[in-house]
Amino acid sequence: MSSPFDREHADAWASDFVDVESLNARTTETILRSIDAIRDTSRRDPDDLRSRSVLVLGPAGAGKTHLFARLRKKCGPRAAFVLMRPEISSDPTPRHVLAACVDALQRRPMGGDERQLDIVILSALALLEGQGVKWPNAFLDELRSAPKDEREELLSRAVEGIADRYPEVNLPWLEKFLALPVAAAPDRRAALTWLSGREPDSTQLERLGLQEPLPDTSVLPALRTLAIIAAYSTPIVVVFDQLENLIDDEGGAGRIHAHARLIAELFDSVRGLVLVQMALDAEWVQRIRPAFSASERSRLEAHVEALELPTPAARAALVEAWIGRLPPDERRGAPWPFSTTEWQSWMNAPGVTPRMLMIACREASRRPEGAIDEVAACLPGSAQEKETPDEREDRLREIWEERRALTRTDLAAAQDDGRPIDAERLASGLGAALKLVHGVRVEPKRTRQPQDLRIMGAGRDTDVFVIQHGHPRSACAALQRAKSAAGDRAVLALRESARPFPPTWHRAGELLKELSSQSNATWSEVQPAEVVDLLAVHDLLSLARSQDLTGRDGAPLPEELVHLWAKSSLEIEAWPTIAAAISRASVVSEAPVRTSSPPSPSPPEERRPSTPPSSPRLKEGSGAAEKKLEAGLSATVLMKLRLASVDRVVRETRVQDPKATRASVLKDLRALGQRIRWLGRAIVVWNGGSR
Amino acid sequence: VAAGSPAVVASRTKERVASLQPSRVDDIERTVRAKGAVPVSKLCPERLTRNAEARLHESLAQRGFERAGRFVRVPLETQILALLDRRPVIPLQALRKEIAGVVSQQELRRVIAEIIDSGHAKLVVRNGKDHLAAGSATVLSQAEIETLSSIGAKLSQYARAAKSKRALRPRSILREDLAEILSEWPFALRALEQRTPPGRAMSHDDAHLELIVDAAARLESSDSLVFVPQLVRALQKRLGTESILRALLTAAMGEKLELRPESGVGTLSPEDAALCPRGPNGIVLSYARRIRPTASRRGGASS
Repeated sequence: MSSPFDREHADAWASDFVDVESLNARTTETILRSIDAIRDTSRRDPDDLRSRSVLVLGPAGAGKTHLFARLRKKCGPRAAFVLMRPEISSDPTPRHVLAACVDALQRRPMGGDERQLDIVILSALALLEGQGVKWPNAFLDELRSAPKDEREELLSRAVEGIADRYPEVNLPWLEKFLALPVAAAPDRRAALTWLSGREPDSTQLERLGLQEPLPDTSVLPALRTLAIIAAYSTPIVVVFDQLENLIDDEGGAGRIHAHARLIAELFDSVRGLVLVQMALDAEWVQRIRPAFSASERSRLEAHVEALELPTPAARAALVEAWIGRLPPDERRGAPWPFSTTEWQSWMNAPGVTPRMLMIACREASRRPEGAIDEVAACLPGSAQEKETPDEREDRLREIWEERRALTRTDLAAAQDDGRPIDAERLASGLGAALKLVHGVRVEPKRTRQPQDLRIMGAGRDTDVFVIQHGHPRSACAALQRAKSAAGDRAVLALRESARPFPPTWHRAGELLKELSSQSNATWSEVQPAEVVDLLAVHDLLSLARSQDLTGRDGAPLPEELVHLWAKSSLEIEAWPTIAAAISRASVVSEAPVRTSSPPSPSPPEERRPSTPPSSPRLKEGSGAAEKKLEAGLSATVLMKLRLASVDRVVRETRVQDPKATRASVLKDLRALGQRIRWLGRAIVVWNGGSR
Repeated sequence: VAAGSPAVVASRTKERVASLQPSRVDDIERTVRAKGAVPVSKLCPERLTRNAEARLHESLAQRGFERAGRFVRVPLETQILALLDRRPVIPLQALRKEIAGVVSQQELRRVIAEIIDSGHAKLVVRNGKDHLAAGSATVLSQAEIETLSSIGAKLSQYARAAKSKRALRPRSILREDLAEILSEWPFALRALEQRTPPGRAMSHDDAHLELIVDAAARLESSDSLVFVPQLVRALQKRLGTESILRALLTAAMGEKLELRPESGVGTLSPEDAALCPRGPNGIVLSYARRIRPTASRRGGASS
């Protein structure tokens, strides 16, 4: 069993976690009141039903994700929670929200056996039939045992009843939705794919008696319908978390406005949703809010809640609750794990977040017995660098492996539910990975643009098309668009290798051949392992922006450091899809030492490597050998490591030259001038630039 | 040459400026800040292209200005709070003349209502007229006003009876009766104490603390957060930076303010960081939140 002090990052979907209710009680109350108000209004006065918006701001580690888990626990089956985080390379749309809502409703609520989807539908049906919403299961049994005609009559009566009260509902969507609890498993899977706004395959469409997936014009009406039905019993709470990831590093406000448009659209035209936005307070105040117009602000900031930091009493309650989770033989009396002095300091120190306190507890609890009073390292005021750069590298590697494992689990769960990876998610993963490639700029998908991403390199631009479609017609349309684009610029079209085009998709096969035959176009099938890596790198960068990555000493890992580590350690340029993308975009793979000569004017095809570009860990070519002579062995070692602690450079240098000393290595490094960059005194980064 | 002829159109197009230097935008910002509001047509003497105009408005919006009707203005809320900073009590009727860029009376009323609801200002009566007072002003609670009203009624009753002409001789009132009526008025004494008469000396620390909390009340935005460097700069002329930082930490210890760690990614400049107190492990505390008495009393309330 892991220690309660190790869970510094709350799990939004956890069912068993430490909770001190006095912490953030006001914010919890506000959201719970909003949920109750929506449920009551939908039953009593449907005409007055509106959506509500709450903005929650707090520093990293103040408990935003914990708040989500707490609300889920408190509401149980009485509300459905949807967690949305911004994709790095695509703008949020109502279709994403619809898909996320339908996915969320397929979860089982905390402490419940039925899927929330069934509860939503059955409660609405029971209410319309005048049976009250309390016994949906009994109603389900009744419905299932009823003859088919009777069942259909009831469903059509329900559709009419709802359409009467809410004329804005989308009737075809509503009919399919209400029929879900009594549908056979394959029909249900097909219906769920269509209802979520995703693309059903041709068999599923046939099963549903439909010709095409949910059209764009029906997405918002579908969302309206879902919100209204759910409001009867299980209002939907859409939580937009980690909104700081909307900020564009290059200063553009396009993604912020896209988010604002989405929230404004949901707030104005969808009734019965609780919209909760969560962001780091400083990022929101300084970089997101200034981009809003007054009308956007009035909707997005309709109600603002600043998360409270724990008071001394709450800190004591937190520590007590964490200790209560330890095995009885490991528990000690107060003020353990601190000494009296330390505890007084932690109780009264300003600006302490629950995460800081947990990390301090962890550090203190791991000290050897009897060392308590002598060790001052756990005092809040002692700003010591406790983690060496090597340990940070190890920690980042560990986080990376954790992210990959989580992504694998997530993908396996999606596969079990028959859900393919959404094209936007794959494109975002690719976009995130490409951001780490030197000399590449990525333009996310914009409305009315055919491509999913545009890669802007040193040479020409490349359009990326993610062809994840499940229906031959739309796959053909996407291939056609890629083919047309290949007339103007380089094109990279890709699809998961786990979902190849079925042999019966003759037209798609032909189009694929035609596309591949074009000199400008590349077709890439993304292997499952690379899919995991792409999605994991997206999560890694998002978490770094949200300051949710912490070292073993509990200090947040700076975003810049995470980027540098990812650039130097993940060998992203060697991932097959990335290699294909950057070779198309004529990006010169990050060279060991930049030359001042302009890029070669030769056409990209000539420079395109026939094999994936070499790993950023440098092979010793002639250029590198020259630099080695010029700058010494330490420089070569650093060129290979890219980012390392001085200690490590010394160690690696000594492997090759046992006579090397720390002083000689430092001298060599200092002689490199601007070719390297120092992060403090202990970490050094190879810039690749020449003096 | 006719007015609409291609030659004239071309010359007009040439006159339009395609981009503004950041220093020009700074000038415009200073003007708007000084005047409170400037008509859009008078923002910039140069004629701008549509793109340049859009960029100008965007950068003004990023600097916290808003466009309303034909004005670009400092948000009304900010203007009113700045006014309250200078004059703690303002007649409501005079407010429209004191601030610039008001589009309609309804808008002004809405903003005033929002400011009052957020606790940044209080609506008070003075000489029978509505006034707006700073959020930090000490005012009577509703219960106290009820008591005041009842005392007033009783006093009025006694006074009327004493002055009645129907009595045999002029009437008076027993002092002990008056004392009994006024004994219901302990809050009056408290109110007098809270006015802090000039003769009564406060300790330096208390005075600094009060100034800090008042400034936080004035500067806090709709999310109830105050950017600490802004607060320090607002008080720097009256108190030294060191005293302010010390008072901030004292206010945090006394649970009057909550100091919050910086959570921006590279948004805090070194100059701003130097104006922030430090927390555990040297973390910069760059935001403050006022703790209202009701919030701290709630303490262990569960939701």
